[in-house]
Amino acid sequence: MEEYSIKTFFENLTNNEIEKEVMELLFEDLSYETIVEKLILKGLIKNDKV
Amino acid sequence: MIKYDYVIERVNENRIFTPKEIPKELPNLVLIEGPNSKGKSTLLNIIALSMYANKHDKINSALLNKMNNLLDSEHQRINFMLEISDKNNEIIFISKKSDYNTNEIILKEKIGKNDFDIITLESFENKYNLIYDIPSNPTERLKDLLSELKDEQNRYGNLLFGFHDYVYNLIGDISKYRDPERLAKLKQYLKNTEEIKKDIEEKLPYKEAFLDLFEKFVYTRFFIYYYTEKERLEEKIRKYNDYVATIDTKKKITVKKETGTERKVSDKLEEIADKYKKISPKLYNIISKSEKIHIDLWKNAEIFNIKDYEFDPSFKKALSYFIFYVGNNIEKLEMDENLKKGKIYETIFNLLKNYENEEIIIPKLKLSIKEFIDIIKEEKDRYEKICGKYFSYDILESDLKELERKIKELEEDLQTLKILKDEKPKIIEEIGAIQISEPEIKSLKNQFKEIFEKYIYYKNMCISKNLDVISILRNCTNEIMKFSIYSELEPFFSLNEKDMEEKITYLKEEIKELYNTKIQKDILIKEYEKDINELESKTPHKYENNKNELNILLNIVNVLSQRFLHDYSKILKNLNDKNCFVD
Repeated sequence: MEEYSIKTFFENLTNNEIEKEVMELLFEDLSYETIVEKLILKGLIKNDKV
Repeated sequence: MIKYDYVIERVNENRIFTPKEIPKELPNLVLIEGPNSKGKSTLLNIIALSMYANKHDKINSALLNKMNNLLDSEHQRINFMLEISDKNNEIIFISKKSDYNTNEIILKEKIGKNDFDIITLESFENKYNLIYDIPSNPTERLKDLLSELKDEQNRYGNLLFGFHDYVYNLIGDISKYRDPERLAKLKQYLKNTEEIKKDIEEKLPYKEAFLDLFEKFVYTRFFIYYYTEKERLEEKIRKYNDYVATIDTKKKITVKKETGTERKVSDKLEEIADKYKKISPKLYNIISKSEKIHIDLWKNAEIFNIKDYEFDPSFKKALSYFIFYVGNNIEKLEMDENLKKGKIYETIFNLLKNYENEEIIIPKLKLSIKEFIDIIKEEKDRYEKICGKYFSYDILESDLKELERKIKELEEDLQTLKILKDEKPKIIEEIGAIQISEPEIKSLKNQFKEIFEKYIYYKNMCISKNLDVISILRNCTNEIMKFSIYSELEPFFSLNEKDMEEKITYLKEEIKELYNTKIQKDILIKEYEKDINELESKTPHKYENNKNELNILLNIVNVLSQRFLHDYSKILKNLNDKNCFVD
């Protein structure tokens, strides 16, 4: 319960969708390669957000 | 945000408690410090009560007792209102207990743009997890919590930092594969370079043609100009040299003439003096004493004393008189018959004298030739005196006339000498004038040297441009005029030689520069083509089309890791130092 709370606490520190997603995937203990794959495949990051 | 208000009525004490020390509006995360009986626990219990905490079995029993005591007690009764919302007002709760006589608490929930709706205990428990705890030693617990938070924060921060490195290296890897971005750039560079090269290739023939035309115009123009100048100066120098030579010759001739004439005068004077000496005794013998005046003039003659290039006029007068005098006497003698006879006998005698020794007998007279000659001689001697006198006069007259002729010759030489002497200062003056103009002629010669060098230079330049120099000089005006049809040359017609030469240098430099640029562009094109081929032969990277997204991700991860490792740590430190409370 406590661990969940800290994760949620951190995730709730931002409203940025990509930041939330990055933290969520990272906190799931996924490999970096998988995280990149998921983010790119989901199309969360758009070129026009430069 | 937390907004609240409450009223607690102590029935027996007849007292009412409302929030006084603690503000009625508080941020969600807040540290409240203060002495006992200031309402800290009451506020916490009201917040918990408003969320059905008194009906929650996970709450500590001591806290439950305190909440129930507040809600359901004989000595006091409570009414309250509480509004609590998240940071963005996405979720808002309003909880109210507005009736002292019941324990009923009404909790309403508002999510997003929806209206407020009552949320029951069951729904609340399904959707939310209520945590309410007041530790027995809260200060220590807070420190433990912060320490735990810090550890977690560092762990996530390091994860983010590692992820940042991973993304960074991933982007770097793309360029080792077939980097489409670089490929596109290289293709663009190649296109740009080819366009520049094409532009240069189009410009070059025009530039070269113009330079050729301009050079021909300039070289022709100045070849003619320097040829004309050279001719002018040559003529000037030649005239000067001729003049100097004339003066020099004149000087030499004058000096030679002068010397010769002086010698002639000197010789003539010697001859005259000799003749004078020879004639004088004869003259004294013949001339009557009555002619004393003329004799004195003769005697006092100053033969060597020439004044103003003129012989002694007194002597000349005496000489004329004596010639007249002797001539007159000769005429008188010639009238005498005896002189005639004497002359005849002398002629016969002189003729026969050659035959004196011949044995010839003169017929009729019966005399030998010798005897006959003697008779003739005897007759001749009878007239010898008058004949001698006559001959003396005749010789004297010849001598006097010869002397007169010599004097005339001398006088002619003296006149020549006078003229020469008169001309000498003029010649000296002219020589002086030549000497004065020597610096001028030196400068003229230097000028000629420069002009000649220029003439040779432009002649060679014309030849280098395949121009017919002979034809140019033959048709000077036409050769220059034929350039007037080229309108592109018009702005340069008024330029001077230096400006024109500079323009040629500039044009040559410009063309050279264009050639160099073209060579550089050729090299670049080959390099780009090579790079493009190499790059196209590489295998594409998995994310070759996602480089921009990866860069965005890199920025995001960087910001996050900075937040976790730096910004949040700072906040935690402040919290730990108890000197701040933060939204």
